[in-house]
Formats: sequence, C-alpha cells, structure tokens
Amino acid sequence: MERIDVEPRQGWPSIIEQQGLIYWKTELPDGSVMPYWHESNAYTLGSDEVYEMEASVRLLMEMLVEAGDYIIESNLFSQMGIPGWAIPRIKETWESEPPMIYGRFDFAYGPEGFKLLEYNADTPTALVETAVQWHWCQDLYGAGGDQWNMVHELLVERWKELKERLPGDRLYLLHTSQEKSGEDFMTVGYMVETCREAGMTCELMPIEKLGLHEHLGFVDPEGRSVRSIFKLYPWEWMVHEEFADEALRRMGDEQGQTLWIEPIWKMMWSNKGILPVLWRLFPDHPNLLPAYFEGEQHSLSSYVRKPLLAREGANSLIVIDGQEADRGPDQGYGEEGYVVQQYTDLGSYDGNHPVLGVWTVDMEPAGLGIRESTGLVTNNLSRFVPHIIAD
Amino acid sequence: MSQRRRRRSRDVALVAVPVLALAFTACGGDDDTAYCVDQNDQIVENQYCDDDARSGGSSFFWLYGGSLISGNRYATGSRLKGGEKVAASNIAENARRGGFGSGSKTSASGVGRAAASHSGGG
Repeated sequence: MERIDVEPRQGWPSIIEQQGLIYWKTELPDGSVMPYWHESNAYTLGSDEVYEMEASVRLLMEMLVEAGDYIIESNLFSQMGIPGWAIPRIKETWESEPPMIYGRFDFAYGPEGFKLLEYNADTPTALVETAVQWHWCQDLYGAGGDQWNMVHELLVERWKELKERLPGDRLYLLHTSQEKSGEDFMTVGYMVETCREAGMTCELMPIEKLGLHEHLGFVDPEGRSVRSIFKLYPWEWMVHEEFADEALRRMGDEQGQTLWIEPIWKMMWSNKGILPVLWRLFPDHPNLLPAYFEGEQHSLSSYVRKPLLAREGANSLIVIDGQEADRGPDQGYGEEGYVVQQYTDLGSYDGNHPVLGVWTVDMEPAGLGIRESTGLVTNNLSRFVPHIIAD
Repeated sequence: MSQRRRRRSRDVALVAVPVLALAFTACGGDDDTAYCVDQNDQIVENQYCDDDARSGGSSFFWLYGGSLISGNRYATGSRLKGGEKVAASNIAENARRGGFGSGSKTSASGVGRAAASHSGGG
C-alpha cells in the first residue's frame, strides 16, 4: 500500500455534499475547521492485498460465529457489561437468526500484516464516505478506475433478499435527531437509498418519534404499526432506555411485534470483549492481536486499553513500553469495564496512520474505506482518504 | 480485479441521498423533534405528556419544530416558540414517544465517526 498525491477536484465540497457527505467539516476546539474528507491524497493497493483482506474477513466472520457460541456457552455476558435482562433475547435471536445487514472491521496494516483492531457490528458509519469515494474514483480515473467497493450493490442485493422476509408493508429506518452534523441522518439516508433501489417502501424517521401503544406495540406518528426497523442506534444504549422492556418483550415477526435490524445479538460482536474472546479461541491467528479482559493476567508492556463500549476512540489509552503514549477524549465510557489489546504499528505514510475499514454485508466482505490520523488514536479528528487498486 | 469494479453507470445516480442532503442542510434536521410543553410553551418532563395521553387530559402538548426563545439548550424549563402544538391526549392513539433516543447516558450525541480506538490507531 502506498499514499500518493492527487489533485483535488475543482469544487469538491459541493460535489460531496450533493452525494450526502454534508458533514465533512470537523470543527476543531479553536474554532477552525478541518475537512474530514481528504482528496489531496489517496491510498493505492495491489489486488493481492485486497484478496488477502477479503480472505481474512471471510475467515474472521466464521471465527465470530464460534465466538458468539462461546460467549453464550461460557456465560460471559456480565464480564462484557451486557445487562442480564437482555440475555434471553440475545440467546433467542442468536438461534433464530433474524436478518442482519452490515458491519465494518477495522484493521491495522503495519509491517506484520493485517491485524484486527475491532469490529463495528451494530451501528457502523462511514457508509456515505465509502460511496462518495467511488464517485471520486470515476471522476478521476473514469471507466479504468478500480476500487474495492461493492458495498452499494451488495446492500441492494441484501435488501432484495429480505424484501419478502420482513414483516409489515414497509421498513422504518431510524436515526437519532440528537446528532446535529447530519452524519447519522445521512448514513441512514444512504441506507434508504439502497433499500428503495431494492424496491422496498422505506420510512426515514428519528428514533425519538417512535411511539409505543399499549395494545399495538410500536407505532409511527400516524399510529401505524411498526413491524420492521433498521436502526442506526446502538443496542447498548437502547437496553438502558425507557422502551427497552417493551422492545425486548415485543421482539419478533408476529402482529404487535417488531423485527429489529441489526438484531440484538450483535451486542456480542460489537462489544470490545469480542477481542479477548477471539484471542482465547484462536491464539496466534495472524490477523488477531493478543487481547485480554482487564484483570486477566497478561504480559503486554505495549498495549491499548479500550472500554468495552465506546466510540471514536473515546476513553482509550495507549501504553508503549509501560508509558502512556496517547489517549482518546474522555466521554465517560468505561463504566462497564475494559479490554487490553496489544499495541500494533499502523504504519506511517508521510506521518499519517491509516486504519482500514472493511465492510461486510451479511457475511460477505464488501469493500474498503480508509481513515487516517496524525495521532495514534483514530478519533473524530481522523480524515477519510479515498483509495484505488493500482494494478 | 474487474469483478470488483462497481459497474454502476453514472445514470443510475443517487436518488434519495441528494434530496435528503439538501433537506437536512435547509432544516438543520431539527424539525422532527417533539418536546413536551405546558400551556405556556415551557418544556416539561415527557412524563407529563405521557400522563396526559393516558388520562385523556388536555394540559400538556407535544410541540414539533419549535425553537428556543433564548439560549441554546432544549432543557426542562426552556420556553419555545413557533412549531406545531398537538394536545398530548390526541397524539397517535396515545402512543408514548421518546422512549428511545433521548436517553444516551454518555456525552456522545450520535454514533458517527465510529472510529476504532486502535492499538496504535484504530
């Protein structure tokens, strides 16, 4: 992989905004603005590297299935900070397999190859950016441009598969109106795009507007039953909120029930506790880093301590040779506990540290989106940088 | 690598996304949020609207798309203006609302930029 200089397109901000990336301005603490979309550079990969990632991800998906079984058999829920009242539904949906849609693996690609940093299984974002980079590729390289990017097509295909399977006459796609930059709204908006293309009836709605009727179950603002939901809102928050009991009680395909995408069992995969579980089951796997629940014995002197539940690198701490090297912003995460994962080199490209986000649709690897940072923690100051396949 | 090419021609362009992008930019995405207010348009706990809906009362309202008279925090006690006011007792067959979404216990407001806290980056 290499990082190359590229001439940015004339008028790129309005181009990407029209394609949904309306949240490309990251406001810095001093009030200045840093573009989150960065097209003055691009990463180039060889097709062999893409094939390798694709194969790794296929295998990791199978390993995750074993990890889910193991978490249930070994009853690791409390160690993972998953509340007791969610467990019966997690177990039940793990068995009955209601549909899932997507996820995103984050990899380091340093001198030792691809190393899994984590898997965002419940509410992955950067979907819009991933689409925008395809338009960038076409603008720059035309029909000859290549990119690992089948995300849109595979999402459309997946919705087509699910069209007959989802209860109700429409799918409600929920975002939170608490998020003000438009990132959550547009990510769900993009999902609407793919689901419409698949021929489904879609309703984009803030999750705050979801109503609960004593007899009908969940209803929309017009009083219609809400039978199928895609939500960009994490289960780890939902299970602590007011409607949690009823959502758990009324989960399913029947009248008065609601089918939720992603399914609640994704609380197992999206939890950082999955990292020590994978390492315990598959020690020395070349794509895994040694990882432990905090409190477990380990001999790592360079490691990253991550909260079981956290976003944007929040509350994570990097220790190199026993010394703190960097830390993410404090957003109050960590109450449920931590994992420690061996520190790994992300590689340095003109002083930038990329993280490779590999998309999965259902169980299939689907494409790539790269974010780079100048610091060691990939946080909300990272930049999305497009990529091309160079051979 | 040809099988990895998108092969999506230009004329199968995004349909919903540009419209939504424009709509969000124009409205700030705020207009869908409802706040429970009393007769003076003052924000009160959602509980009051829930109780009103259950009892068939008429003292509290859901206010859609209202904006603050002063300040920038939509907190209990703030006064709102404008928007659309609907009696809590009438709304969507007394459905309770707001049971998901407003109660995040962390300071994060959304799920975006869900970057990894990588070991050395992610």
